Amino acid sequence: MADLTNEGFGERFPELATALGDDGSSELVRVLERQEVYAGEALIDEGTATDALFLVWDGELDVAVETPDGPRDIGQVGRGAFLGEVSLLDPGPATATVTSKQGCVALRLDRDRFDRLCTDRPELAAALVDELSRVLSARIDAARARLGMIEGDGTTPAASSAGLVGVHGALYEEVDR
Amino acid sequence: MSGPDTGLERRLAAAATLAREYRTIAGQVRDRVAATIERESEAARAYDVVVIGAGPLGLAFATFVLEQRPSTRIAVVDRRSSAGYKIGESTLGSAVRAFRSMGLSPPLLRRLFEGKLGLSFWWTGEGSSDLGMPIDVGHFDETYQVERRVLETALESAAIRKGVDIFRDTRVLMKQSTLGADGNELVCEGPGREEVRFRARVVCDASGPAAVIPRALGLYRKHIDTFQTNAYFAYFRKKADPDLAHWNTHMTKHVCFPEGWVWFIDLQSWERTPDETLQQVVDFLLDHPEGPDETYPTRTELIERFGCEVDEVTSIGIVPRDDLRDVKGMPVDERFNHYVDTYPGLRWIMDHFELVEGHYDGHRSFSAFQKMAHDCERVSGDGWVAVGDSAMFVNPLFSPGMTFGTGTAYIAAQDTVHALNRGDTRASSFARYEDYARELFTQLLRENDLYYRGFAHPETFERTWMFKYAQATTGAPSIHDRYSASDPYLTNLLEPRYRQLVETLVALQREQEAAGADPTDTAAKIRSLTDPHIASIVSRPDWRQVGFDRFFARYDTDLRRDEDKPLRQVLYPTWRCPRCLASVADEITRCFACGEPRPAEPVPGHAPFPPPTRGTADVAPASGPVG
Repeated sequence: MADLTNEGFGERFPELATALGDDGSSELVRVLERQEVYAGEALIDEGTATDALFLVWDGELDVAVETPDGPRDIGQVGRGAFLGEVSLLDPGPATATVTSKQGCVALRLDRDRFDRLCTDRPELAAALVDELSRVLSARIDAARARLGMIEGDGTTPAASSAGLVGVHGALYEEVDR
Repeated sequence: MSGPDTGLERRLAAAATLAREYRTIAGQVRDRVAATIERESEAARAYDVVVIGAGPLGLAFATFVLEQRPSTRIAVVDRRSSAGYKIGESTLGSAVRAFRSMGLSPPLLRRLFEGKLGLSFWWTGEGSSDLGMPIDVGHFDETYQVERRVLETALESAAIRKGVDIFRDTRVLMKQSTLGADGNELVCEGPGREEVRFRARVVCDASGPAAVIPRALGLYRKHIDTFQTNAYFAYFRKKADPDLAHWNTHMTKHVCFPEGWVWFIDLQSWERTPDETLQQVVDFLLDHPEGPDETYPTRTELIERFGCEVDEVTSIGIVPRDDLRDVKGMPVDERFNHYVDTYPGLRWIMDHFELVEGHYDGHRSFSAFQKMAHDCERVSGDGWVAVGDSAMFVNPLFSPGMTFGTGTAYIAAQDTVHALNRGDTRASSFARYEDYARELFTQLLRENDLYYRGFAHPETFERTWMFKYAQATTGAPSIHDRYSASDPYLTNLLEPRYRQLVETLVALQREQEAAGADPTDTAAKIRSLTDPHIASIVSRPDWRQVGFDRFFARYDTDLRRDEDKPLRQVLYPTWRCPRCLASVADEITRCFACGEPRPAEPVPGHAPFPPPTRGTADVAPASGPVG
């Protein structure tokens, strides 16, 4: 299991590390909880009330959503990805199930620790919120764009559910840095 | 929050708004996906049973299931856009009972098809043009010689009236389909080449030689432990009546020769009647109120009323062993003529016919099937069964394709009904059908071996047939309208003692053949095995009571050959129409074909059979296993 070092943090979350600076990064790493996910275990369960942000330190996770036909894979995320930022900023039910086939390490920031960060180190909290907003914005735009392409001008055939995986996946993609 | 204003509160508020926006769009996508899936699952048509193939056996299977379990939702898919030409033109009682069960009335059958009253056999050898040792068995029921396009149009229309959904122009793509005990999904290519999906708890493969499921699962087998046989056939017009006693009758005629046999099947051909017109005739006959035959328009009246064209044509096919002569290098018409020219008797009979070139649209004049026999490693699995030619085929002799094919459809249907009722469609639910199919194939193969090896000599030919027929009378079901549980066991072919004898006879014949033995010596050895069995059958009390000897033209009450036996009191008497020579059942007072009333005097050369004095009792019920 890799040590949670500043270098490791900077390598995996470059935008955030830049915004926080060295000192801020160490502080954040100190505040974050290390969560190990075992092979086959779910990190997040769709529909469960959650309020935590996860930063993926190592490993790969499968993102799936529930459909009338059963669970459907819509994408994969790996080291450097953010998960659950929606739940941190607007606590509520998780929008997807995230599972690790082979196990992974994530850094967890729940609402309590985030609130303390806001009080103790508001400038770090602000930088974090900025980064999360950027990611969210990009995902929303990507999903809208794809949904728009599918809705189209009414002359293209209706999308199959298989085709909609792409739209769904856009909501969880790692955005361009 | 306290502390210097870093805009954090603003940022948090803005971020929370973004998060809510994200939730909204995530919800929209989820709803969109759910709606699409629902639309797709509606597009996948859900049934309890889907049958692949709208031929006689697929439709029989569907009908048998529906009769026993009326709530069953059944669909039949067929890759053809409409019924068309197929070989398989002669029927026996079992198949006709199945057709009647499926809704085809006797008046309909008589008008659409050529009537058949039994089987006639002759033997011919090299060096003589005589067709000798004639054996006739018949006049115990009325069956038909059928054009498949007409038969399948009628059966399909009847099935639709019974509530079966039929999807034509729909081809199953097995590679993309899934089979299983939890349910099957058949992915098909539909009429517009679009994808059409079917879900079913049970799939029945009645796709005939295509054998869609067995081939896809690697279960199809061509290897058998004896010789294979081939068929070469074409369509002819009769130029003149052969001068041969009992040829000009409504029997399926067979000429047997040392390497095989030849079929002569007279047909009423509707080939020049367009599909729409044929459909109108079929609909009229299906919707006609049930009643005596005389209440229906005659065939001639129907032809005139609907503007049809119907010709008489004869299907002739040579079915030789594959291992005795190599004709593969020749084109098909030459193979046919090669056998004809080798046997003067065949040459003589064929001289009374002339070829009709390309009678069936889109088909060549001569057709060939090579090495026809096949079976499958298994004919059922989780969620599926295969019936008819998909499951097995041996040889067309005695029409086992449709005759015993209906048996496979019936027993598979019984197992399917039980499986649906219990909610268990695993392979174990079809075990009874699996056993029947295995035993049936083995026995049909053995019997075919027996017949063909008997063709070596007229005496073995004669003894083999009479051995078979004697046994057949013990398994003759009652002559009633509908298919019954004894039909799959027609002729009592699976009786253990009989099967043992067949094995012994075949082993003997193989030995003799391999040793190059004198055929009269073989005949004597065979006789020593067949005759005691025949004697035990004819000494049964019901044999004389029923009068089974009435099935045969030249055999006495002990089944000894009597060339001079007078015309007998048959079980199913008929009279000959003086105008068109149709054979009409005794109780019908005018000809169903042309309308001519029954004459006071019989047609010269077609004396009627003596009126029955022993009463018209049905034959005894089957003594074999009742399904």
